[in-house]
Amino acid sequence: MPTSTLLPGKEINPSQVSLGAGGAGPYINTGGGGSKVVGPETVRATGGGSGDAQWRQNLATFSGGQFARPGGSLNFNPLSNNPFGGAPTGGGNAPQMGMPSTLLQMALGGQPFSWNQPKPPTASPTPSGASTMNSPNDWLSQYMSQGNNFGNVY
Amino acid sequence: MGQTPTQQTSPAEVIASINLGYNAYTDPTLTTARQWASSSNVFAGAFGFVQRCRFANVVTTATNAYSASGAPFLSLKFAALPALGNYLLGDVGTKMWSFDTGAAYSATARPELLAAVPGISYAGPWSREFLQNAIYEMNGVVKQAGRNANFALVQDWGIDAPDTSPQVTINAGATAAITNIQRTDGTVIVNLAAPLTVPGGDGIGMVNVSGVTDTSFNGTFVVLTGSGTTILTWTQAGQNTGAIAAGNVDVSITKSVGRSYAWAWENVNDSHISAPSPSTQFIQYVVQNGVIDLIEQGTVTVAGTNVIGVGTSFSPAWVGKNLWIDGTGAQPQIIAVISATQMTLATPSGGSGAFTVYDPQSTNIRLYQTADGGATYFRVQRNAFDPSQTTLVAAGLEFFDNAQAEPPNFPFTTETSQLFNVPPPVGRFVKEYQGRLIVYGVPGLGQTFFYSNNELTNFGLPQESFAPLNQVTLPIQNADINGMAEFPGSLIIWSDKQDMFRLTGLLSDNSTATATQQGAQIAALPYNLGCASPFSVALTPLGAIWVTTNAEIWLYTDRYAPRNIGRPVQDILSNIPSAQLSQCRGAYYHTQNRNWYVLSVANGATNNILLVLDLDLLAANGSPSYFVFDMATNQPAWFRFDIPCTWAEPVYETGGAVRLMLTGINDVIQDTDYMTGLFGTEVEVPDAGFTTHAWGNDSAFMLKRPSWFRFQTNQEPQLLSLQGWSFQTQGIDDDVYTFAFPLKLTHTPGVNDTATLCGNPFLAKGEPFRFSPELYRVGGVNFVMGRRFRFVVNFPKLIGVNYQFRSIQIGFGSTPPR
Repeated sequence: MPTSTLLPGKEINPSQVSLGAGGAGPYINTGGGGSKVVGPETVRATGGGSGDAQWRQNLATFSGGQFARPGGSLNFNPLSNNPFGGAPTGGGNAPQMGMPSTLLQMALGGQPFSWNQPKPPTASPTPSGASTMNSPNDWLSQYMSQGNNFGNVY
Repeated sequence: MGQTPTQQTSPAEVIASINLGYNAYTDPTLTTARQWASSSNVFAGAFGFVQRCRFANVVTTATNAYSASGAPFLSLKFAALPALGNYLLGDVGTKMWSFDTGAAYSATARPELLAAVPGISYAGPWSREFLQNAIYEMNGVVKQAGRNANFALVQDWGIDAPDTSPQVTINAGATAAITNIQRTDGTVIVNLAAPLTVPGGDGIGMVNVSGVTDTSFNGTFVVLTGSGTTILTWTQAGQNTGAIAAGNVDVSITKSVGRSYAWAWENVNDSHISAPSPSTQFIQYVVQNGVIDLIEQGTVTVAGTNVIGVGTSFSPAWVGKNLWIDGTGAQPQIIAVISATQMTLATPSGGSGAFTVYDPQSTNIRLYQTADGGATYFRVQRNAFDPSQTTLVAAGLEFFDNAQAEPPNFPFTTETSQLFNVPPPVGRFVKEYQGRLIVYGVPGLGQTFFYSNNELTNFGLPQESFAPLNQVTLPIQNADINGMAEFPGSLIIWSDKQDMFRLTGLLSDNSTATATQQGAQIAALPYNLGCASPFSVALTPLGAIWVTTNAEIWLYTDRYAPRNIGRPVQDILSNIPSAQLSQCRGAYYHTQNRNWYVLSVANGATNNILLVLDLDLLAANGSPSYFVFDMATNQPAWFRFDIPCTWAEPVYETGGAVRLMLTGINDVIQDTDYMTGLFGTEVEVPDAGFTTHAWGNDSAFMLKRPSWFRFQTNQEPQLLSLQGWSFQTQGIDDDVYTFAFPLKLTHTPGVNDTATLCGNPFLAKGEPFRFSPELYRVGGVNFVMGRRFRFVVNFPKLIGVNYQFRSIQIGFGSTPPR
């Protein structure tokens, strides 16, 4: 029965999750023939503080129970800000990966932030390779789009 | 044609519609006599008169089946169930009660599931919301759901997911050749070349049929009879056939990658399913089958109330759950988990062996498994759970997997495990919005609110499931969320400091897969208004009314900027001790000619003033978008009731009456707006009355010397003395007699009224057109004059009558005009 566990309160190490102590991988080769027991594997919430014990345990089960645990049982803090590859649980404190838990992340109707590449200046009246400082409009365009007042410097 | 000459009349004034209520905000030299300088236990309205309150005790220590706690109720909640009744829920001390309004408020004690757990408190106030015929309630320590009559079926809010993957025992499979197989009337009978024992046995175990030339026989079936023999039967719909001699029947599974299992609790009575347990590793069967046992790691031994584990991993999340031990069966409730190997039961017991823990509301167990190497967990089997049984298989904690099948074939169903059926955290407050329940006030997570599922729960109750990412954290610095108001289409959220937000759009379940599809938006509102208590918020037809963190009462319509509508009573609000500000309790109450926002506040250690805002009079000023109050001639009409009031709750009785219930006196629930004929024992209301603001402010440059006053009520004048009315005129000349020290003339029916003093004892009850116990002459010792006059009306304290005061007449001639 795989029983390798982390100490309570210790954060999960992703490498320990992906590399089981027994090296058996996520699949149990039963080898055929007679009886073999794959024992129960626990997922336990560590840490304390926020929320009640039942809720933390449910979050841990949700987060850590959805994938095979080659190392057997799993103890971790589901409210940690240190994601380890399990399903994100939020934790009630922004920022947290994968959840729109702040106004910053909820802005724009909850859509993820996107950033549009500033459009290049429209057709320059100057010949290619010529200084863009020849025209006040070009200068203003560069200033507005790149945040500095000397276009083509960078 | 001649006319009767008009009789000479003397000048007189009438002060009527004295209904603008209490106002301590405006300069008293600017107000009108329709406003009140002080008041207690009277109210008015658009109807114009002033009425004394009527109080009645509805729940007392004498209430049927109620046992006293010696403390006031801390919170109330009205809730009704179709075809069952209308109930008033209340909590007092550490007891929770339901009172049936259709049965003389007969009491029912509601169960307290965790009462034996140290540190668990059932003390109020409780925050409650009603959804889908259940009451969902939290008090910051306990969360629970109540159902059925009197909401006496109390269960945990949601079912905690099993926290351990099942144990899988892999055994060698077996195969038997078919000598003949035949289907008749929906039953298949197969004769085998050798006996075949089906793990799980008749009615449970499954066999795989393969190689039959009539392929309709091939597949996986639950054996009906014959396990361990050479003749098996099972049910299969299909055409009757002749005997066929081909193929095999086996109880063997062979997989190339493997099959993983998970399981979940189910409450069939509520149609709810928990989130699944942790999944097992993939079991790569090779001509084998599996026995799935739903047990925790290790074994336990119970001695008395102590539980000692070997190889166990006890979890603090087990507190409140029950223990079950293989070979012994159900054990008492777990009330403490001391370590990974030691815990305590509520009562002494005994037993040892493999074990599991369960929520008593669980009635069934669902087993899920994947396809060969699959990642989706489909329900394949379902057992009834009977903790009174002493073996795993009898209790329903053991499944047998002999099925070679792959989805979508039997035993696979299309039902997937409900990953997101995660119960909510325990908070202090719950709010219903868009059919979801919102929980906030979670210890340590004060800036976050959590909301229940809708889309992510396909099986089970969405309102008892909170997907882990269904949460929003607000940027409110050091503040905590401290109030919400639901408008059609938006949700207003306050902090306990100065933050105010507006959530619009449809809340939608959030997962990593749907994070980019959130439709709700939250905008910070620029008003710098927080909320003193979520319980102070009430949604009224005019908008949401709440108490801010700086002790003001504001109205917000969701369309226009908030309005401060509490200025007339700001002196009372400013007297609330800061420690008591969070005890403010608001409610909306509407029946017949009452349309009130009521707010109970403290003027000391406990709430003892109920402020009543007349919404009809407020609405009479137009739309909240352009309310204009000069505060000198018009104002929000507030009335003050002096009564213990820890909580105010409107109740809609089974009989149809609407009543405003108050708590505050030990073990008593009072009707604050009693009407004759309703259930309850009416009580006297002493010291009820009011003092008007000054009449004559608009001509204070002129000294007035009235010659008579008439105080008109809705009672027969001859009864005024018997009932105990009295009146007073206060003259203010701004020279010697001031607002603080006016010249007072008391008018007492039966003492100095014109009927009593007319000199004829036979006319003491009045004379038509001349004398009346409500008419008072000024002169002699009955002297008063001034530039301004205030009037005091003292109401009777007696029960049984709606005492109403209508108007004051002031005359300046020798007799009333004729």
